[in-house]
Amino acid sequence: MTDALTWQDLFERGEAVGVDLETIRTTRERLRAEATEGGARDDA
Amino acid sequence: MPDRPNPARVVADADVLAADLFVDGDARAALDHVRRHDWVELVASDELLAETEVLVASLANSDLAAAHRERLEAERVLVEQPPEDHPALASAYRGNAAHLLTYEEGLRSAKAGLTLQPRVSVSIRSPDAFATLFDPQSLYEAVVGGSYSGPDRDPLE
Repeated sequence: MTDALTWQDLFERGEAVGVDLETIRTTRERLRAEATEGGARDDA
Repeated sequence: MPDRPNPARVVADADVLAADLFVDGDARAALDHVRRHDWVELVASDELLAETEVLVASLANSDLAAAHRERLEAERVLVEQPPEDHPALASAYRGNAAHLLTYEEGLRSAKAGLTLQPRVSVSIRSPDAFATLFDPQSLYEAVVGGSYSGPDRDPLE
């Protein structure tokens, strides 16, 4: 795993996206809801 | 299941791992404690990393998500989990971790704590609480033994 980026490289790329904590939380909730709905459809 | 969780083992939920990547804030301060000490271990199942990768890809792009996952895979302690279990909780339980960091209010509520306590003896905290309360000196003495001489890794490398 010698070609993995450093944390500094990853942080620079991550911060450049401009995402805030609230967006992370709401996106996570949306993905969870979509996954749950998808699972429910699969079970039906 | 072991009787006592390992106080030097930490699980970060997908939202915390993503916040560490995107925001110079509490999540990064908390995980910097882990990165600074090679005797503190980040525990994660493949399911937890997969959830994180999907979240990062949704917020940014698949290239950054893959690079982030690659770095996490290189550093984590891998645990197996049942696919239907909550990835972060299962990682903590299966990895015998003492700390679970999350922004998910439901996991940190008293009800969640009571429901989980019989199976998972883990302290569920927000990243800022962990970052504030983390005491490497006393933890080193308890886990490794001897006197703590400070961080042994660069958290940015």
